Amino acid sequence: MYATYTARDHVTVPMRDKADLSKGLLVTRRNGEVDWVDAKQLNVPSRNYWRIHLQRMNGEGAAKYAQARMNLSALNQRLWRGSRDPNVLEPVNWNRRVLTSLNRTFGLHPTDPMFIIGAMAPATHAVVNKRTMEVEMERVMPEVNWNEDWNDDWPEYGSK
Amino acid sequence: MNGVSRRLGGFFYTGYSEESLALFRVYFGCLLFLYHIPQFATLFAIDPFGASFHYTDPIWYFELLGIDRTIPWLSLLAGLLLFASTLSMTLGKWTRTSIIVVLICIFYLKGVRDSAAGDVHHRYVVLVQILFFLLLSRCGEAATGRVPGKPGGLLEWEASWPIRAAQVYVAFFYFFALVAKLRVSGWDWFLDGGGRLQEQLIVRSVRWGLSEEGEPLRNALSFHLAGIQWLVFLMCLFVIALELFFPLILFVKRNLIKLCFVACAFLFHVGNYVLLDVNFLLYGLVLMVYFDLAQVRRLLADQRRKALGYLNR
Repeated sequence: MYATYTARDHVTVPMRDKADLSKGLLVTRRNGEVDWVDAKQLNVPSRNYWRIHLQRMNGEGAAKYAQARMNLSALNQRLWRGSRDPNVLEPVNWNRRVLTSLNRTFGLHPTDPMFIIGAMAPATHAVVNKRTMEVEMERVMPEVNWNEDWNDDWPEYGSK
Repeated sequence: MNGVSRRLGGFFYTGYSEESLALFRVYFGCLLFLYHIPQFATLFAIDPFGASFHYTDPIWYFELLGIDRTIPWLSLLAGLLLFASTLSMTLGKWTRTSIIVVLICIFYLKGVRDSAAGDVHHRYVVLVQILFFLLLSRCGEAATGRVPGKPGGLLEWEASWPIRAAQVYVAFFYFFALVAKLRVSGWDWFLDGGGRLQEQLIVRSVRWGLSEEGEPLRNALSFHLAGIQWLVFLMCLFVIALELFFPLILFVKRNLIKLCFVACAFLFHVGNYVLLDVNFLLYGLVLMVYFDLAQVRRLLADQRRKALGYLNR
């Protein structure tokens, strides 16, 4: 989990701001309604929710995904991954996964007027310069939107 | 070849008594009991009859079994079953069945916890392996205070191999952590001004927010340490040394030297917990596997006798 590292000058840290996390995700429904969906409504522990809000909504997967797709030297690649090519591993569509999770949790179908077609996760990022340790704050609002092409395989996707 | 297998046999099948294995089962059971609490407490805090969250990224065995959502009341039930079976395993009642139930509950609850957001934690890897060794052993029949060699008792080899196998696994858990860092990230993990360790110190301190003066609200010590790059580099050297040389503990006979190895590893876990917020503190207690608990028990009994003698004088 902690094995991956790529040298860089700055590190961006999504902050676990209580106000942002307790408000939840700002969702837009098919009928145009806009409201908040929080961890309590989803009935998900706060230790899991922050990852959805700050990482998955930002298109960032768990460390295992980065590790599986890292470029390794040829010998290293052969030793640990056999003949599998990391480039053929499909990228994970976190937008779709998050929206599918939200809708399925509330039992919503794509044709439902309450179906969630968009979500935003307000957050603050701290950008730290690793040499000088100076910190800059920036307000971000990652947004995910439902692609209507995904309706076709709705019954199968994300569910066995 | 015969020499190697004789040595391996000597290592795996000698050195521990029935009492050692019985005490190890009790000690490990108590450790597990404490260990489960911080790992799964959050799952028991959700509304048992509330919404059933559809997983963002189910863990591989949930995907295989078609489990795609949380059943909140089932987590609570699995938690109760986990604690009850850990207790019965510790007491040596229906030990094999209890261990199987403990394993199933751990897999289920870990799956629930990690599937919600698709994260993977490896905090049970070593403990599950040890449970597996205990499952295959006769640890449930092991008792304290039985005269060695009496019918029904465990032979030395039966008592030794589960403990020795656990020791080897724990030692190489550290070693392969170093191999993983090097093969995935190379020396950059340690160099580059403290590499990943410096970055982790920054992330784990800043993520809780900053005060108006720019001070981290929690883990401020980690943030300040991250700015002292030579110190971070020294900490990296400590990590390399620990993970590279820890398997040597398998060849150490003297308890005092073993204690030094264990103290370093424990310090490493305390550091991870205090500075990096890694919920792995209690794991350090598993390092007692390197000591013969029957010897420890005798030592403590001697000390108690001496103390009582001194008080009665």
